[in-house]
Amino acid sequence: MINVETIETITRSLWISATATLIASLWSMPMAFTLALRRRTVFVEAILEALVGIPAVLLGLILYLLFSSSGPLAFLKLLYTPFAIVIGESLLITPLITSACYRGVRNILKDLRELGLSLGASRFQLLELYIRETYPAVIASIIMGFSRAVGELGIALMVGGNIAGFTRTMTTAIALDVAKGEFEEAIVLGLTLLSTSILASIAVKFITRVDKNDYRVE
Amino acid sequence: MIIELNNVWHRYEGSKKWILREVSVIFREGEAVLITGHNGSGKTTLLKIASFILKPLRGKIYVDKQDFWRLSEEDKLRIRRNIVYVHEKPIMLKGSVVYNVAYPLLLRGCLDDEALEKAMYVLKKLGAEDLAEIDARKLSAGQMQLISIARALILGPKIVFLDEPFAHLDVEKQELIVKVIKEEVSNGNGIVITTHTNHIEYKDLDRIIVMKDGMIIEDRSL
Repeated sequence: MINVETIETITRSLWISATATLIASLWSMPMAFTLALRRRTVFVEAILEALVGIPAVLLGLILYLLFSSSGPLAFLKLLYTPFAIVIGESLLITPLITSACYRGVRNILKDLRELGLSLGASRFQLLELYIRETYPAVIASIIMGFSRAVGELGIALMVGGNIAGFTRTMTTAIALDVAKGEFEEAIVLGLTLLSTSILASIAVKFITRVDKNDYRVE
Repeated sequence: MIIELNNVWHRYEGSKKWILREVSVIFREGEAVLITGHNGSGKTTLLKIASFILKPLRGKIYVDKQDFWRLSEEDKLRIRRNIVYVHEKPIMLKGSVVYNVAYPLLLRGCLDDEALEKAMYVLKKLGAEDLAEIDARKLSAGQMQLISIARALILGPKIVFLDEPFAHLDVEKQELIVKVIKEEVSNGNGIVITTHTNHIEYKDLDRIIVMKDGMIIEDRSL
C-alpha cells in the first residue's frame, strides 16, 4: 500500500518543515524575548497577530515573483527547489513562533530579568536563566510552528513546483492525487499529516502542562 | 559601600506620570533604613533604582563616588554582586528550595556541593530546613517569601533591599526575620526595608524615610 515514493515524499516533507522551523526559530526566539522585555508592545503584538494568519498563497506569490527568472532574486536559482520551500515556510511560521513564544514568556521574563540582576547574574547568565526557566514555552511554540509548516500547501506548490522526487511534499502530493482521482496514496499521506499534527498537539499539551506551577506569589 | 541617588526622576515607559521626583538619598553599608509611605508613593521603584535593577530616566546614581551607569559591564556586575534586592512578590525558580537558595552562589562560580551546604545552613538558620527538597513553586506565599529572603542572605551582601518582607509571613516568621535583620546590621551589613507596618522598632533603625507621591518628604536619623 505504501510505496517507496510515498515514503520519500513523507521524509522530504518532514525535513523541509523541520529545517524551516529551525531557521525560523533562530530569529523568532530573540524577537519574542526582546518583545517580552519591553513594556509597550500593543502595536507590535497587533502586527504579529495579523501576520499569523497571512495566506500561504500570498507569500508563495511574493516569493515566486522574487525568485522567478525576471525577479530580483533570480540569480539565486532557488525557484522549484526544496530550499525555496524552506525559505517560504520559515517566513510563514515566523509570526506564529514569535507570537506563541512571546505569549508564553511575557509574564515571567521581566521578573526573571529583575531576579537575575538582583542576584548578580552576568548577561550570559541572564540568557541562561531565561532559557532554563522558559524552555517549555519555547519548545511548545517551535512545535506549533513545525505543525503549521508541515501542513502548508500554497508555498510548496508555487515555489516548489511539485516536482516528483525533488520538491514534492505531502500536501502537494495529496493535491495532485486528488486531481488525478488517485485517492489511495492521498489517504495515506492525509493520515500521516493528521498523525503529525495530533502528535505535535499532544506534545505541546504535555510540555505546557508540566510547567503549570506558579513561579511567584500573586 | 555608599550608594547615592542624586536628583533622580523616573517614570515607566508609556506613562506620563512620574513615579519618582527629585529623589536624593544615600544608603550606606552598616545602616538600617526604613522606608515608609502609602501604596504608590514610589517605595518599590526607589528600591529597584537604588539596587540598579532600573535605570532612572533622569538623575545620577553614584557608588562610592562613581557614576554607576557609566561604568563598564564588568564593574557594574562587580558592584551588583555586593547588593541584593528582594521582591515583595517572591519569584521562585524551577527546582528544589535548596537549589533556589544556592542559586546566587552558583552564579558566582561556587561548586555545587559547597553552595548546597551553605544553602542548607541558611535554611536551618531560618527554621526552614524541612522545605529543602520541596519543589520551590509548590510553596505557600509565606514560605516563598522566607526562601527569597534566605536566597538574599546567603550572599552576605553589603546592602540588602527588602521590599515589604513581612507581607506574607506569620507572626513567628516575622519575628525570626526581624532577628535575622538585626544580626545582619550588627555584622556591619546595610539593610533597607520598605514596610507600612510596625514590625521593626525604632531602636533597631538608624534612619527613617517617608515618601509621598514619588518624593521623599522626610529623611530623619534616629
